[in-house]
Amino acid sequence: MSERKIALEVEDLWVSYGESVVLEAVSFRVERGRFIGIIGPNGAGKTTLFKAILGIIPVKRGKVRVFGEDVDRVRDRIGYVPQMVETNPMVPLTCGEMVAMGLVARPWGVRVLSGSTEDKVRRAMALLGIEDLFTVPYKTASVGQKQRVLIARALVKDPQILFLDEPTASVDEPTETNVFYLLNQLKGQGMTIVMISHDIGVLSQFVDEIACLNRTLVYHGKGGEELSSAITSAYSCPVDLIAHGMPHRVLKRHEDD
Amino acid sequence: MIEIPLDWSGLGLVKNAFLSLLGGALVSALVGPFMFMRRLGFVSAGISHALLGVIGVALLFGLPLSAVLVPATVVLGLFMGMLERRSRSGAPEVAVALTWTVGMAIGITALRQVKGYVPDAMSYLFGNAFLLSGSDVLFAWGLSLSASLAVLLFFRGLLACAVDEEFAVSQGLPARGLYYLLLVIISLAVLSLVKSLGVILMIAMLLVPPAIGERKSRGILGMFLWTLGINLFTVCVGLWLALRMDLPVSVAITFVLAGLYILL
Repeated sequence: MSERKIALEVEDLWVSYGESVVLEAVSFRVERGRFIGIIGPNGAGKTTLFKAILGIIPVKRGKVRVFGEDVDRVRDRIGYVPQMVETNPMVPLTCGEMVAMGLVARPWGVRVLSGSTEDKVRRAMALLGIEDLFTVPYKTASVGQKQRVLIARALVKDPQILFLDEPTASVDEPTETNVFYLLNQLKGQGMTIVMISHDIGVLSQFVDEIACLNRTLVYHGKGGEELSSAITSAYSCPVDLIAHGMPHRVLKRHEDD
Repeated sequence: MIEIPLDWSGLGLVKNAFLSLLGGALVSALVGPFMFMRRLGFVSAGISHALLGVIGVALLFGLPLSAVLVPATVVLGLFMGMLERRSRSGAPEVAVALTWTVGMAIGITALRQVKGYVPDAMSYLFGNAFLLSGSDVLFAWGLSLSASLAVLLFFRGLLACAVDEEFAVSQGLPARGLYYLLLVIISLAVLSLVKSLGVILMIAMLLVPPAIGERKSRGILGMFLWTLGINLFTVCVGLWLALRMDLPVSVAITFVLAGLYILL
């Protein structure tokens, strides 16, 4: 694979919280313009992987490169949608102000929204169909609206790679489908998308490749029987393969249930 | 401390109290919302209470308060912040409470040991805005302006970290540095209010108005404007009440704030 084609490269990544190793020797590459879904059971280290890639938490060992550079050098090209629980409910922002937070790359300055930033914010919100929420307090928005506001916040700076941590959790089915169609559209425009999701069924309809994580990377590829056995091993329970060769449904209850 | 006369009329002491509280209203309107949004009320109360220890030790050893207080309070603030940071990752929050109470215990012990004239410990605990000299007012305004300027300079970064610190880091913002900067700013704000409102009651002035502002406003600007408005109203009404009812200003202000919190 040509170096110029690689959007994300993770090499022998180790992360630990104190004595507890959370990620162990994780290595994978994502080509530019690809849509990769990351799955894994609870506590597998999926969110930790994102945080390590983005420099939010320190890594014990290993290397992360985005577009062939250290992450700090390309932050303006990276969009990030964290899990919704990360936002502080004590801060009274309008949805427009929340989206504008995606443009704050330097700590100084007073104004959150100015003329030029307002245009960008409105454009990003229009992409998600939430332009009418511009002056609505974020805290009063519905869960689905909040989720779309956070996606708009990541898109407002026109990133070239987008990391999404369960962006469709707690949203209704039509919203989920709309989000996936938007991501597919962005991928069509050349954006690289890396997304964590629990919904393997929907994810499998849109992604180009899938990675299964359970402390270490147990599978990375396009799906099929190999993925099925990797997932069975990662989730410690049998899975059924339905659509597009991707595992869709857990057939049996866990042994310990 | 060098005495600078600032009483331009027969009501000099009232004017000093008003001017000092006006500076307090300004700095509280800028710093208080960040304390509230980042849930640093406990840490800030810890800083203000432990400040009594610094005051007591300075008086006991005859150190000039004006020279000692600023660096000591800043160090205290950073220390409290470090403890709070650690408590997030599992260390007991009791460390902050312990520093707070030990600071007060040291202060009370030290003030009891000081020979000769000692300022009444009660005036540090509850403040006495009517006994402020001109130099006290200038000292408080210097601190208020420094803290306010720092907030205005780094407003966007401080806000981004208040909304979602991890997202701020992903954007390349120095979240840890901004957190400690906020602690320094809070320390300066606390110090600017210590003589007028006292270490115990000042926390109401810093936390109650932004709590009301958060409830009342639709956006971030609204929260800061509400906080400023409530602060100015509270200072005026609190001062009037204190004069009318012969109450300590800090007590009157606390009553006004409690009333507003319930009513609004």
